[in-house]
Amino acid sequence: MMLSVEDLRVYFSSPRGDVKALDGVDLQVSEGEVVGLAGESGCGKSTLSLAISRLIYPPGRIESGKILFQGNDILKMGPNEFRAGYRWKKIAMIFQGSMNGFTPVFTIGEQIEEVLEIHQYAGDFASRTKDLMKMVELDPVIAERYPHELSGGQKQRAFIAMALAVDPPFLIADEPTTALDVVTQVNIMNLLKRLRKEKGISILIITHDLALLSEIVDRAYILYAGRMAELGTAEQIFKEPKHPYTQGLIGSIPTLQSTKIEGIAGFMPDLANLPPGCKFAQRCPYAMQVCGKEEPLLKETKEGQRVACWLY
Amino acid sequence: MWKELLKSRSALLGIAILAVLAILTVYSFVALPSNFSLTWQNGEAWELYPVDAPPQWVSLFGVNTAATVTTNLTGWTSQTYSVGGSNFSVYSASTTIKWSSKAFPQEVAFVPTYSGAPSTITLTWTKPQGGSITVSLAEPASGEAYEAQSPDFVSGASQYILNQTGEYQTQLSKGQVISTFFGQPGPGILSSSPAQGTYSLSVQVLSSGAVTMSGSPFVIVGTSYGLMGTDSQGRPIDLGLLAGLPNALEVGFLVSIISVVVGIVFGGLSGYFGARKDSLMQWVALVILAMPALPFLVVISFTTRLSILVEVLLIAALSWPFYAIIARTVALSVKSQTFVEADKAMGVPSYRVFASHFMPRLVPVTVAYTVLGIPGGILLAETLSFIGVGPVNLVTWGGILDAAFVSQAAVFGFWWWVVFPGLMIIISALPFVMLGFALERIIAPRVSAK
Amino acid sequence: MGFGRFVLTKAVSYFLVLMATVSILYLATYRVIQKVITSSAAALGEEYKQNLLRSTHLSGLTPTQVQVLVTDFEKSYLAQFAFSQPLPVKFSVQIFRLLTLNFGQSYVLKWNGSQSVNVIIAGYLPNTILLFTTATLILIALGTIIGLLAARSAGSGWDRVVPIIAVVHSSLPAWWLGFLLIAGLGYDLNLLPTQGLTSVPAPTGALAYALNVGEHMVLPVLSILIVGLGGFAYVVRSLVISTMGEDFVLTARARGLPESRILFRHILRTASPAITTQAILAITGSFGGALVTEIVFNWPGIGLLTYMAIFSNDLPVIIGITFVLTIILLVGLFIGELVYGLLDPRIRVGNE
Repeated sequence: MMLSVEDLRVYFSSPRGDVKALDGVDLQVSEGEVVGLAGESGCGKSTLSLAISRLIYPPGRIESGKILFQGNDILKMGPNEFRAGYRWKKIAMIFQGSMNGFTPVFTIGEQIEEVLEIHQYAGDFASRTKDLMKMVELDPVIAERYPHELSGGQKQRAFIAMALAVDPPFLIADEPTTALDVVTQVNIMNLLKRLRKEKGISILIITHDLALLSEIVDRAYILYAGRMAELGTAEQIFKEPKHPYTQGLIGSIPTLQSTKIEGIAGFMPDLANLPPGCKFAQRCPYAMQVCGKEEPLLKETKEGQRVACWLY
Repeated sequence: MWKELLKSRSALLGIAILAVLAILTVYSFVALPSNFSLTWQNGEAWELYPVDAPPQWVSLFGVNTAATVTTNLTGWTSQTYSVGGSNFSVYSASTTIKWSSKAFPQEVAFVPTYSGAPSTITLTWTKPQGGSITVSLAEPASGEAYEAQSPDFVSGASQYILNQTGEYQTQLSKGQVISTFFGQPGPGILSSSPAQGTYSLSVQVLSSGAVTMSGSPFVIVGTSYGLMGTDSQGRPIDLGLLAGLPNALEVGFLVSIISVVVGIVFGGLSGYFGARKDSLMQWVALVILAMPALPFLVVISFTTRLSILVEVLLIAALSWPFYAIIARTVALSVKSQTFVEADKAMGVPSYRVFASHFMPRLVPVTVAYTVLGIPGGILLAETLSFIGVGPVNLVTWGGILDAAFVSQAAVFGFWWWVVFPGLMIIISALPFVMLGFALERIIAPRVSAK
Repeated sequence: MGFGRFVLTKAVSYFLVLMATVSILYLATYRVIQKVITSSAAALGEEYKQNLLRSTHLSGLTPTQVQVLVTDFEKSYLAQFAFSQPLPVKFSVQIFRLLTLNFGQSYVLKWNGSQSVNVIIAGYLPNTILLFTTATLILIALGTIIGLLAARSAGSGWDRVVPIIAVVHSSLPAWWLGFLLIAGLGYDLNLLPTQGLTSVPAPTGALAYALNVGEHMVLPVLSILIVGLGGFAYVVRSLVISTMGEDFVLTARARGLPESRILFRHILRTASPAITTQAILAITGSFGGALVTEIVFNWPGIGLLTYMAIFSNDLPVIIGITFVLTIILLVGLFIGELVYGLLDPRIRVGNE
C-alpha cells in the first residue's frame, strides 16, 4: 500500500468554533494506482492533499488520525525528517495554484535545480533539467525563462517537470487543470496518463471536475462536507453511482447529448455547525426521517464499492 | 468599525491618552490668558521665578534643592490712630512659612500691591528660633518687586548681622542677604546652613490716607520649581508645554486632514481613471514628492511671516503625495474587481461607480491615515520651530527645545528643559499612532479582501 | 520592454520631474530669489564703487563718472539674470542658472575663505552624505533582518514588540533623541564625543582620522537609527507576511525546501522590490529629521549649514541648499527605481 489515510480529522479554529474540514476520512492508494477524489469546492479535498504533505498551518490542525505512507505514519515523524526524506522525494504535489507555484523572481531552471540540490540528486543538474523539460514536452529553453514569461499551460507542465525531478513514487495532483483552457486540460491529462504508464507512479487526483476524473482514474472517492460519501472503481462510480450526491454530481456533468445541466439544489452545510444525521439530507431528493437523525456509515454495496447512505 | 476598535487594547489606551490631552487643551484655554504667548516672550514677566531650576519633586530623590514658595499676604486688618491732629492708619497682615529645604533659595522678593499712597511698609521676618529682620520700604511703588539686593533689604540684613556678629557690613551680596534671612542665628550666620522650621512674616503698612491692600505676594524663589522646572529665563516649562499643546494639536489635525483628503481624492481618482490620466497624475505626485520640505519651508519663511494656517497649508502642500500613492493602490485593487467592470459595462454612470465601489474603500483608508498622519504634522511643525522657522509669536515645544539647545541645556545638565518638551511631543503623537495602527489593522483586511 | 528601455524611459521621466520640481520651487521662491539678485547687485555695485573711489586719483574719474560706471556695472550684473527681460525669458534664464547650480555668492557664510554658494555647499555636503548613507545602510540591513525575523514568528510575543517600536518611530523626533544621547552617553558617562566631525585638533594620519570621525558618528547615527529602525522593520514585516501568504510559499514548502531557505531566498527576494520602494520612502521621509540631527550634534553637514544660514539670514545659501537637495533627492529616487527594476525580473525581463 502506497498511502493509507485512516480516520483523519482536520479542524480549523474560527471564532464560530471548530470548522471540521475533514471529519473521519479514510483513503487508500495502492502502488501504481490512479485514485480520484471529487467533491464540491469547500468539501475538504484540498485540505486532505495538504494534510498528506503535512502543510496544515494554524489556524488549522490535524486533530486525530493516521497517514501511513508506505507503512510509516508520517504524522509521527519529526518535521525535518519528513521535510528532507518525504517531501518531493516521495510525495510530490501539483497544486491548484501551480500557476503561481513558482517563485516569481527565479527562472524555472533555477527552481528545478534548487529541488535537485536540496534532495541531493546524484546526476548532473543541467542535463536532468533538460530531460525533465523534454519529458513534459517543453522546449528546454523555457528553463531559462521567468515564470511570468510562460503561459498557463507551460507553467503547469513546468511544474509537473519539477514534481518529477527526483522520481517520487507518489504524486498528488490538486486541481491540476483548473484555470486552463480545454485543449491544455486534455494535454495535461494525457501527460499524467503517460507518466503513470511509463513510470508506474501512483497518483491522487483531486478535482471538482468529474468528467476529467472518469477518463483517467482506477478508483474514485466522493467527499462531501468532510466525510466520504462514496467510493468505488471508476466504472462503479461513473456508471452506477449509488449515493444521491454522486448521482447529482454525475448529473451535473455536461455531455454532448443533453443540453440541460442538472445541478444539485442548495448548499453544503456550515462546517463549523454541522446538522445531525446525514450531512446531505437537506439537499437530498430521497431524504427520509432517519437521515435527519442518524449519520449513515460507509456500507459495502458491491465488491469495492462503498456508500454512506440510508438508502442501502 | 467602532466595536472592533473598542476591542483593541492599544486603541483604548490611545483614546484614554487623547481624552487627557483634550482635558489639558481645555485647561490651557481656561488657565492661560489669551495673550500668554506675548507674556512668554517678555523676560520681565518671569523675574520672580528661579532660573534653570529642576522640578520641585527632585527633592524626593534626595537632591538638595529649595522649593519655590509664594505667599500672598491677605486678611489685612486696619487701625487708625490720631497723632497731633493728623490721622494715620496702620494696615497689617501676617503669615507663616514652613521651610524644610536644606538649600538656600535663589532670591526673596516682596511685591506690595495696593491702591492709595502708603508712606512706609515694614516687613518683619521672624526666624524659627526667634529673632527678626526688619525691612522698611519707604514710599514703595505698587506692583514693584523688592528683591534681596534692594537697599531696604540690604540694610535690614546689615542690621541683623550687626546684632548677631557685632560687625557692621554694608556691602552685602544677594547670597549674603539670603543667608541672613535663612541662616542659623549666631556669629556664623553668613556661613551657616539654612534653618528649618516655621518662619513668620508680618507686614505693616503705614499711611496717612486710605489704602486698599490686595494680595501682596512674598516670593521665596527657590532652586526648584513646580512640576517640570524652569528655563534660563525662569519660565516654567510646564506652562510652556501647556501653552504649546493647542497649537501642536491644531497643526497636527489640520495638516493631516488637508493632506490626507487631498491625497486620497487625488490618488483615488488617479487609480480610478487609470491609463494616461493615471500616469500623468502619478507624475505630478512625484514632482511634489521630490521637494525637500525642510529647506523649502525655510526659504518660504523668509518672505512670508508664517502663521499657523500658512504653515499648515505649506506642510500639507508637500505631504499629500504620500497618501495619493496609498489611495491609488487601493483604487487599483478595487478597479480590478469584476463587479466594477460589470457595472461599467452595464453603463452605470462613472460618478456612481466611483461612489458605490471606490468611496466605501477609500473612506476608511482616509480615516485611518488621517489619524496616522497627525503625529507627522506635529513632528514636522515642532521640528520647524526647533530650527527657528516656525510661526512667530507662538509658544511651541520645538521653540522651547530650540532655546534649550541654544542655552546648551543638555551640556549643563538641565535635563528637565530637554526631556519634558520631547516627552510632550511623544505623548501628543502617541495616541494617534496607536489609534491609527488599530484602525489600519481593522481596515486592512477589508481593503485587501477580494 | 528590455531593461535598457526601462532605464531610458525612467531617466526621461525623472528629468522631466526635475524640470517641473525646479520650476515649481522657483515660482514658489520667486520673490526671495529676486530679492537676493537685487541685493547682491547692490552689494557688488557698492564694492565696485569703493574700488573706483579708492583709485580715482589714478584714473581721474569724477564722482558723476563713477556713479555712471557703477550703474552700468549693476545693470550688467542684473542682465545676467535677465532681470528686466519679459517674464518668460527671465524665468527660463533664471531657472537655467539654478539647474546649472549657479547660485552666486553668499552674504555671510564662507568655506575656506570662499563665499561662492557652490563651494560652501560642496564643502558641507560630503559630511551629510557620509552620515546619512552610513545610517541608512545600517538601517536597511538591520530593519530587513528584524522585519524578517518578526514575520517568521508572526503572532508571538517577540513579534508584538515590532509594532511598539513602530509606534515609537512615528512619534519620536530623531534630533530630540540626539539631545538625550548627548546628555546621557556623552556628558554623564563621557563615553563618546558629542560634537562635530572630529576632535579639535583633528588627529593626523589617515587611520587615526577615520577612526576619530567614526567615533564622532556613533551618536548621530544611533539617534537616526533608533527612530527609523522600528518603522522600517514594521514595513518589512508587513510585506514579508503578505508575501508569505502567496501560493509559491506553500509550493516551496511542499518541495521540501528548508524554512530558512524559503524565508531568506524565496520570500525575501520576491518581496525585495516592494521593500526597496518602502526603503526609498523611508529614506526620503527621514532625510529632514537627519538634517536637524546634524544641528544637535554640530555635525558640519547641510543641516548645520541650513541652521547657520537661518541665523545669519544668508538667503543665497538656503536657496542653493533647497535646489541641491531637490536634485540629490531625485537622483536618489532614480537610483531606487533602477534597483527596483534590477530586483524584479518582471520589469527587468519584461512581459512577452
